[in-house]
Amino acid sequence: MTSKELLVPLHVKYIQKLGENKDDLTYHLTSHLRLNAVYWGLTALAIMGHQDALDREEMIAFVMSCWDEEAGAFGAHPDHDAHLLSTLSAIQILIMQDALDRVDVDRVVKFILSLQQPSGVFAGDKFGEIDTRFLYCAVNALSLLGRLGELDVEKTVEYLGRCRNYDGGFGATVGAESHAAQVFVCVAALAILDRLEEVDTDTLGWWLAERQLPNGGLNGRPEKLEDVCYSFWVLSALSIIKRVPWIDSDKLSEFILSAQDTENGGIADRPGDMVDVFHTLFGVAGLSILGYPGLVDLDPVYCMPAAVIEARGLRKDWQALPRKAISS
Amino acid sequence: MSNDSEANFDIVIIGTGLTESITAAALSKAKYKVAHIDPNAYYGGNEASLSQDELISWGEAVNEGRHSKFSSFSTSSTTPLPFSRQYSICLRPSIIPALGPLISSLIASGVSKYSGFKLLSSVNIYSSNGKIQSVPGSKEDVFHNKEISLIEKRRLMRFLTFAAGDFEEKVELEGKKERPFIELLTSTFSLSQELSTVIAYSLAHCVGPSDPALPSLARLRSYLKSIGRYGPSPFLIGHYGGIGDVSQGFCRASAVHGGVYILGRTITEVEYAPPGSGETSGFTFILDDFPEALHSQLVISTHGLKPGQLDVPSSSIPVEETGPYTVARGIIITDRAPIYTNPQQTSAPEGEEAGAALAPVSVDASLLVFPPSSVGKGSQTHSATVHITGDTSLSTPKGKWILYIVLPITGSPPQETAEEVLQPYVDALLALTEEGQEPICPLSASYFFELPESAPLLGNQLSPKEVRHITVPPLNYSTFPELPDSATRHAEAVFTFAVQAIQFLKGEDIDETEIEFWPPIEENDGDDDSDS
Amino acid sequence: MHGVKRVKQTPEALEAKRQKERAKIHEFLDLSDKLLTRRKDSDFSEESFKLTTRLLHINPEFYTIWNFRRNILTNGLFPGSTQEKVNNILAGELMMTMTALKSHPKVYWIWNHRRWCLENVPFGPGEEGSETYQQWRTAAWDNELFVVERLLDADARNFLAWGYRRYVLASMPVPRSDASELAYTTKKIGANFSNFSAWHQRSKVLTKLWADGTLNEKTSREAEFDLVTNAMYTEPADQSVWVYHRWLVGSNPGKSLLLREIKSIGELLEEQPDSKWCMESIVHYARIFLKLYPEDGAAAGLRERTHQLLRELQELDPFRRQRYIDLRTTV
Repeated sequence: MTSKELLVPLHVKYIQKLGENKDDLTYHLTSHLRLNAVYWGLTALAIMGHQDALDREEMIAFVMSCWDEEAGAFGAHPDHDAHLLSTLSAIQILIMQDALDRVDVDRVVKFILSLQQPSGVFAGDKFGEIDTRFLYCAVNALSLLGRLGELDVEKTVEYLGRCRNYDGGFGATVGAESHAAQVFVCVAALAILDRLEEVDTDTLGWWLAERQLPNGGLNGRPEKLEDVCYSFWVLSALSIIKRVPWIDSDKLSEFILSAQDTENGGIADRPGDMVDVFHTLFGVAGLSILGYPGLVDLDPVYCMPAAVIEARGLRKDWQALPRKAISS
Repeated sequence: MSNDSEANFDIVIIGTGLTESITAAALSKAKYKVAHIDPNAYYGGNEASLSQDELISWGEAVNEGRHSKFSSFSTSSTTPLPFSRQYSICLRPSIIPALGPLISSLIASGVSKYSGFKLLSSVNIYSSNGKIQSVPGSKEDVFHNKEISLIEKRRLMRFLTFAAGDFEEKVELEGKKERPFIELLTSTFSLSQELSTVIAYSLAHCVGPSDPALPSLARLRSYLKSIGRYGPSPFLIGHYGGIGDVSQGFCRASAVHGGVYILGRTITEVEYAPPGSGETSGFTFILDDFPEALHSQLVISTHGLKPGQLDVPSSSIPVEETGPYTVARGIIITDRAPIYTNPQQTSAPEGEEAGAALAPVSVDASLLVFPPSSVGKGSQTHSATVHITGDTSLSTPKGKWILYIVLPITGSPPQETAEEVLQPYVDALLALTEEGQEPICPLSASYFFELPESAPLLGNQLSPKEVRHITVPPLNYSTFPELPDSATRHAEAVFTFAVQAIQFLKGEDIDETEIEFWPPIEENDGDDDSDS
Repeated sequence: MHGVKRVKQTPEALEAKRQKERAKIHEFLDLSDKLLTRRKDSDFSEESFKLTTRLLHINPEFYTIWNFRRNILTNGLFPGSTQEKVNNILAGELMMTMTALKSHPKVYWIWNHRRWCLENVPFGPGEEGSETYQQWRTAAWDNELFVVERLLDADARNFLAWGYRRYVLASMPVPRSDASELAYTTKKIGANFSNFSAWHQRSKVLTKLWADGTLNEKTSREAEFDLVTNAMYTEPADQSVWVYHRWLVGSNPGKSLLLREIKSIGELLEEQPDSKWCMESIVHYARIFLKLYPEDGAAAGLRERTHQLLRELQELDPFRRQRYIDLRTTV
């Protein structure tokens, strides 16, 4: 069964129940993503206008329980090692819950800055894996913490420039193939750093527009399959370079909606697959950028509610499609 | 067979050709009691794989009129070659499409685990100037090909895409389904005569220039879909002589499920007692030099092995009429392989390690197609197929090759001998050596004709309730890769009909719809798709 | 959950699954608790090491446990071991992660652990400069290239594997020649030219080979045009080919090259009049021409053709209609 409408109450219920799956093996095997999952769930709820569906105090307490005192940042779960990925999620959650005062911001900033490599890229943790994803996490987090001034912007931008390919896209490291998720992190990082002149807008717009496949869905690279999460990666980049109209938004909306689980809620990577909170957020986020009626505006640069970012004076010059009216 | 009850069978099958063997396996697996008799001392009937010394005796029998399907055997070998028993020479060699009825039956019956298979290594085509071209059958082949112009590449790909899809109702085919296939290629798809020849004879395996479009396209589509199942070629060949060994594999599967095998015995006497004549109703067979009589309710045989002149209710299975070709066949054994280099492998681009530039094509397990008029004095109307096998398909001793030549001819056998008919092809083939070298000198060369069998008259179709003898449809030549799949289709039709007849004879309700050719394999059979 | 089919389960089936999983959950949580405690206690013993093997076998994404494992190696097992023993331990790590990669080829943490292992392979016995000094490292890195090739055989588009390949090539103590990497991309493209990852790699390798003079840029570039034109005619609907063609033409091409390629694509378009990529590419190169050579005699004709093609594209490729409309305003 498919639905032509976003089944908001069902998705809210799905997210609320995620924490109750403790007799499901998968729940435990994904503990290394728990804090990220909380961020995905909370943001999806916020975009659907139901941020209160999860208990605020409980959530803040959980975030703080993930604090890694030795490293001075957040792990994904209590007693897990600190990592940039989970640290950004923690900060995003605390800001959305207006609880940043609970954190030792100085230590977090120190942790983040310590991970920048001589080349300008960031490692994810002290074990040194490098990727433009981590660079984005660092830039995003520093910006949210109001501490971007302490970053070596030139070095950072220079690395991003070296990751740009002739097709307009960006890869995970210097020399890597363009990939829609890496395009998002690089373009969003440049947006935060106010350095969008590093982007070849026309070429990138072309490459991103060509990600749409005949079934309306978007893929992440040429000659690959569509996947709901690319709805966000591609759309966020398109909205930052103001080219969302270059794809067919109706067809993409239909595709995202067709990947909903119409019985138990949640959105999957493709129609008929198992749902998860990751694809649920990126499906909802994509729909928000496409102006889906009734949704809250999403800031494509930070992947957080636009109002939260505006309140902190961080809004960049992006363009989503105008919000459509709810048809009666 | 020690006691009388064991000599009572549901079905006696006479002849172990490919069709009968598949039928026997299916009936035994369906839990019917089968006795499978063959007057020959070997399995496989007309499709048998023989050792080289057996081939010599077989040829003598042909000339004595003892194998009605064949005639006019001649050979240069009067005495067996060294290691003659290490050859597996198939009387009617074939290749097996990687998707199709035979491969499905091999897997579903579990027979694939008894036999080994090898991917066909290449298909090449002989052009009138003596050059050999390899045949582009896939996107990658077209991409690599250096001989076809860019525009032709596009046209060829467009055609291949068309041929791989649902073309039946496409506008390109409107009013042209019965027209010659080659005409469709040259006019509708604007392909050159040369490329059209390649497509028709070496991709679609057409027999002649007037082969109609629709069946040729249907064949080509099934081959295109076969690409990639086991590798780049759409065809497999079987170890130990190919389909002769496959026939034997099905017999083995029948035996595993209780089938009783009696080889090398002729039937000296058959009696038939119609129903109502007491407990002994049905057939009684007396075999030469065999202690016990066999009893059965039903008999299955080829036309040629019909039991005596009994007046029993007999029915044949209607099948599609295929071209009534006489086939001139040659079997050449050599100790040198013909050599042709692959013209597509030009030198590697600058700066890259020069790899297999101009490496000879592996001829083992390959086909070489001679289109009509490609050799002087050869056929102007039909294409000949040469199938080369060697020790990698375990069909010869090390360092020896078998070159099968197959040329269909319309109508009755010509005045010339098979050897004379095939001589131009043999000469061309044996001249394929490195420059400056002498032609290959064969160790042995044998020739014979395969005769078309006319299907028994239809029209006197009986229902399964009336029939006591089922004639297996004749397995005539239609195109080179078709034989094994035709045999399998025939076997399924015979099987279904036989099951209904037996159900009636046993007083059960006839099942019109749910008779499964190969019921799902029980788990402990451990059968899996282990071929390739 | 990428690509896992949603199946409708009855409450009974769900309950049965829960029953079955209960033991596994218990084992996992038990192991997990034990290890996190040992980690807090800085217990770098052999036994802790074995426990991490068990846990990572169940869940290779548990990065904290990979971290702990490395800490055990560095602080527990390596000190007091001979260099040879260290080398053997790391060889064992590479074996263990290879098995994990076969079932989890896209788990970053496994790749990451291999990286760490390779970078910690000790120098062999003997003096610096002697034959044996580099042998362990050379063997490990050579093997790594072999491993990554097997993974690319299994999935020729795995971008983690391609990225890792570039890392291995850049880090090997005895570097492979760029020419041999070019040959590798030829092989991969030959096996299936829809493999854009291989075309991408090719563009990077050629750039190096041209820059250092190993290849004559002019003749090599022409050979690439042949190759890509071949692919274009074989399958004009394949995006990877057109993207590579754009790289080959570059951002600042000469007038004659542009006109030649526009003509060549035009011929293909005549043969395949519904080819979106032919039209789109002609528009692209015509726009470059108009930008670089606005005064040229060919400009007026190209401008008109571009308008015409953009109108056709609006109908042929409606998903991207707005882009074609926007482009028309710029020509």
